[in-house]
Formats: sequence, structure tokens, C-alpha cells
Amino acid sequence: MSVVKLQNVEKTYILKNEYIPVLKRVNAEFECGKLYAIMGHSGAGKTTLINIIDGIESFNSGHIIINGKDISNMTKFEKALVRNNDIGMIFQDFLLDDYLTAYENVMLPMTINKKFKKRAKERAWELLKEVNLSNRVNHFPKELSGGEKQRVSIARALANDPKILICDEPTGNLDEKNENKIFEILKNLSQMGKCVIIVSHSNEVLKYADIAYELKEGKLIEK
Amino acid sequence: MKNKLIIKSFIRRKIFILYFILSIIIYSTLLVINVTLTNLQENRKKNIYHNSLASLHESNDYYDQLNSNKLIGDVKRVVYFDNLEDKTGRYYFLLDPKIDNRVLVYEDRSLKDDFIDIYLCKKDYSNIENTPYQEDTLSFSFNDTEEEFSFNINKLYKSKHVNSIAVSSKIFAKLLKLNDGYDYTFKLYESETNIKKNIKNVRILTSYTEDEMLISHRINQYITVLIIFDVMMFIIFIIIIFIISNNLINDLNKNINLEYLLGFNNLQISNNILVRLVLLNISSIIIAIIGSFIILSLFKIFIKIDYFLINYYLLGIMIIILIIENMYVVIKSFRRLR
Ligand SMILES: Nc1ncnc2c1ncn2[C@@H]1O[C@H](COP(=O)(O)OP(=O)(O)OP(=O)(O)O)[C@@H](O)[C@H]1O
Ligand SMILES: [Mg+2]
Repeated sequence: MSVVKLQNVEKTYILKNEYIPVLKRVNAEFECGKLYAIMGHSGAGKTTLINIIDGIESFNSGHIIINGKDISNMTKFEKALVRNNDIGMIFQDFLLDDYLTAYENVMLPMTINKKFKKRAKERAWELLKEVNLSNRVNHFPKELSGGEKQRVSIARALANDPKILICDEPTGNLDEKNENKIFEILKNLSQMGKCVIIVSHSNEVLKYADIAYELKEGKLIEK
Repeated sequence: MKNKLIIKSFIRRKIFILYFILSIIIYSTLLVINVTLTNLQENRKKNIYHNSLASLHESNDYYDQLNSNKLIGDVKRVVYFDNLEDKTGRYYFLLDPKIDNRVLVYEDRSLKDDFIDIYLCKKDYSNIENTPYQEDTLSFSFNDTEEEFSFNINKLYKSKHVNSIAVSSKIFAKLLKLNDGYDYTFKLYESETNIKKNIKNVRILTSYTEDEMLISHRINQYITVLIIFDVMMFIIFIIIIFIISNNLINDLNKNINLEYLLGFNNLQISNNILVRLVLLNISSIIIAIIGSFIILSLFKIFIKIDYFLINYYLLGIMIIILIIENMYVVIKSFRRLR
């Protein structure tokens, strides 16, 4: 069953009377238990696409259904709730709070969600153990390597147990060894039932992907 | 607690500690200067009061009005003798040119009817001090009456003001009846010009000694310097607050973005911003207040500080500026949200 559904999604940026069409009637469905790779050259609109799915960016027309909820007509407040509850996000530059330890970073999304609020601390511990960081829980981001930081951010993305994980260039700042480690973790998560969507430049991702798309001229084309 | 992690992340920043210490220094400097200023001003007021004397002649009785006037104090009924008969010739200075060559008379309840006390400035006092003045008899009279009042001298006192004498209650009552109109003297809490604006017909008799003039002058200089310093501090305070605010906005920008991505809604995000700012400002103000009290207590060992009053006016302005600053930060940070 698909947890992310795109129906005729269109996005055009308007810059001083100049129209930049980025997405043209994009249709796609993403299911739980699978790992999706989205490739495409720089400027193809990959970040735009996932920002729209995350509810961070608006779109011009079409529908996006996340976990059964149509976010097209949602208020900002409702979208924030979806982001917190249904989607885990992983970024190229990790976006960790530099002044919180690994486990505090993982706790942060749980503080605004009733689901795990009461046992946030224990859950943060468990999640860090899952990504093999039990010996780094009290470290600040600056005391962690790039790969470790990205694993913390994966643990954080899992905090509220979302069905969907969306990763924008998760290995962009990592070397090959760490890249494979991250892809392995993400692959694992997809096999455990998550819907994992990875945007990447690297062909490595194709080794792990169940389905690979290419974003080209505003269309999502299955490879 | 929901905000615990937000606060933790905030207070662990070097920049937070820098802001915190800076604001504490600024607030406490402002408070210390201000309390010192208030003290100097109060002391100056006291100084003026102790060194001033004014007289007033009216055809109606204004005693109660004068007593309730906040600008003046120590209001006393007085009368004046016009003439002095003095066989020794030593007491000519009782007829003071400042009060139209008359003799200023106060009441002293402890005196016997045929005795007077004499209050003299330093110079006149030293002239009489070593003479057998107890043996002298002085006679006083009014221009338009025959009646003469003769007294022996009971005691001499030093006085800063106009030379004067004191008579018994009974004599004083009699003199009041003879007096044409009503006369008063009083001390001043305010500068001459203010008093003159407030009380018509007032005559300022004040006589500062040179030393006292110098002290008053010096205090005035201190006050001027401190006021300039205070204003400069205030301007610096506003500039620093502005720099802090802008740095805060930049610093918080990453966090605001992160919170947004993690699914905090706009209400929660602005709440988080406010919690941080309130924490920074309120705690630094409280510490500054405590700190300035400690500093002033230490000062107290060296200089006289009677008034530990916090200037609520200043505190109010500081808080208003902080509120404006906080609103500026919240609004400007919020604009950066998508
Ligand atoms: N806020 C914006 N306003 C106008 N144009 C934008 C904006 N954001 C992105 N674009 C344009 O939209 C196009 C797609 O940008 P996007 O960031 O989605 O590309 P991308 O596929 O993620 O590229 P990369 O691989 O380099 O990250 C680009 O041409 C970009 O210039
Ligand atoms: Mg991109």
C-alpha cells in the first residue's frame, strides 16, 4: 500500500517575470518496505520535489497524499504535525543542534509528540544503539565524525516512528565507506517496513534501491 | 518539560554567556550609577536645606500653607525689632543689613521672660565670646511704638545664617500682637529660582560660606559628569542591545529552521524564541539587581550612601527597550520562516 502518493504535482518558480517550471505533472507512488532512489542532474528539481513532499514548500497544483492524508489543502499547523509524525528527514549537512548531545538531538522531535514523550530518553538510547552509536550518546556533534553525525540524524528521523524516511543527499558529505554504511542502515530500515526515499547523485545508491527514478525535464521517470 | 532541551541548547552557547555577562555588566553599571546619582542629588538637597534661609512678609497669615509646601521646611514665625539700644556698642551686628537693618527674633520656650539667646555667625561670635556678655543689657523697640523691651543675655550660639535673637514664649506672643502683618523664615529644599517661582515676595537670605559653596559646586560637577556618563551608558546600552539582537537572530536562525523541519509549528517556534529571550533578559536583570546591591554595599564602606532606591523610571525604560528588542527579534526571526 502506498504511503506517499503524488498526483499531477506541478511546481513553477516565478522570478521577476521569469517562469522556472521545475515539476510538470509528476505522478508517483511510494510504498512501505521499499527503498526508492531519485537521481537527476543538478538543478533537476530533486530538492524541490522532496521539500514539497515534506510540506516545507508549496506547489501550484495536484495532490500529495501522505499516509492517507491529503496535504494539498492543509494549514501550516497541520503540515507541521505531519512532518513531526509521519515523516523522518535526513539532510546532506546533518542539521544537528550543535549544542545538544547525540541523545538530546534524538529526543528533540519527541518533545512535541505525545507518542514517545514520556520515555523519550530511553527511546533515544535505543535508537542510537540501533545505529551503532551506544558509545557516543553523550557526545556533541563536533565530537563526532561525519558518518556518526549522519547516523545520529537517522536516529533522530526515526524518533517518532514515522512510516516515511526522506533523505536529501544523505551521503553527500561522506566518504565511500561511510556512504555504504549509511545506505546499509537505510536499506535495513526499508526492509523493516519503512518507506525510504533517497535523493542522491551517487550511483552507489542503485545497489540498494528497489526502484530507481530519474527526475528529468520536470518528470519522474522510472529507470 | 517541553522547553528543557531548547533552553539547554541555548545556554550552552559561548555567545549566550557573552551576552549574559555583557548585559549583567551594563544593567548593573546603570543601576549603580543611578543609585549613586540619586544619593548625590539627595545630599545636595540636604546641603541646600542646611545652608539656606528665606524670609517672607505677608499681610495675611500663610503659616499653614507654608507648612504644607513641599519645597520648603522648618517654617517659623518671626518678628523684627527696628531699633537696638546698646551701651557697649558691641552688638551693632544684630541689626542686619540683609533684613533692612532690623533684628530677627525667634521664640524659645525654654527662656525666661527677661533673657534672650543670641545666635551669631562665626566672626561675630568670636568677637563676643570672650567678653563678659552676661552683664550686658540690650533694649529693643519698634519704630512706631513707645514700648521698650530690655533683656539680659542668657547664652551665645553659633549660627550659619542671619544673626538673630530668641525670646521667651510670653514676650514672643506679645511681639506677634504688635507686629504689623505676618513674618516667617524657612529653609529651602529647592534652588532659589524654583522657590522664587513658587512663593511671591520671598526673600532669600541664604549665606553659604566659601567652603560650603565649594562643596556644593563640586557636588554639582559630579552630578553633571554622572548624568553625562549615565546618558552615554544608556546609548551604549541601546547599541549593544541592538547588536545582541541581531546576533541572536543570526544565531537562532539555524535552530528555528531546524525546529521547523522537525515539525514544531509556528506557535511552538515563537514560544521557543520567547522562552530563550525571557530567560536571557529576566535572569540577567535579576542578577544585575542583586549584583548592584552587592557593589553598592561595598561602596558604602567608602562613601555615604543613604538611599538604596532603585530608580523605577530607569528600570521601566530598560524593560520597555527589552520588550521592543524582544518583539523585534521574534518578528524578524519569524520572517525567515517559510
Ligand atoms: N526558491 C527558489 N526560487 C526560484 N528558483 C528556485 C528556487 N529554489 C530552486 N529553484 C530553481 O529550481 C530548480 C531546481 O532546484 P533544486 O534545488 O530542486 O535542484 P536539485 O535537483 O536539488 O539540484 P542539486 O542536485 O544541485 O541539489 C533550479 O533551477 C533552481 O535554480
Ligand atoms: Mg538538491
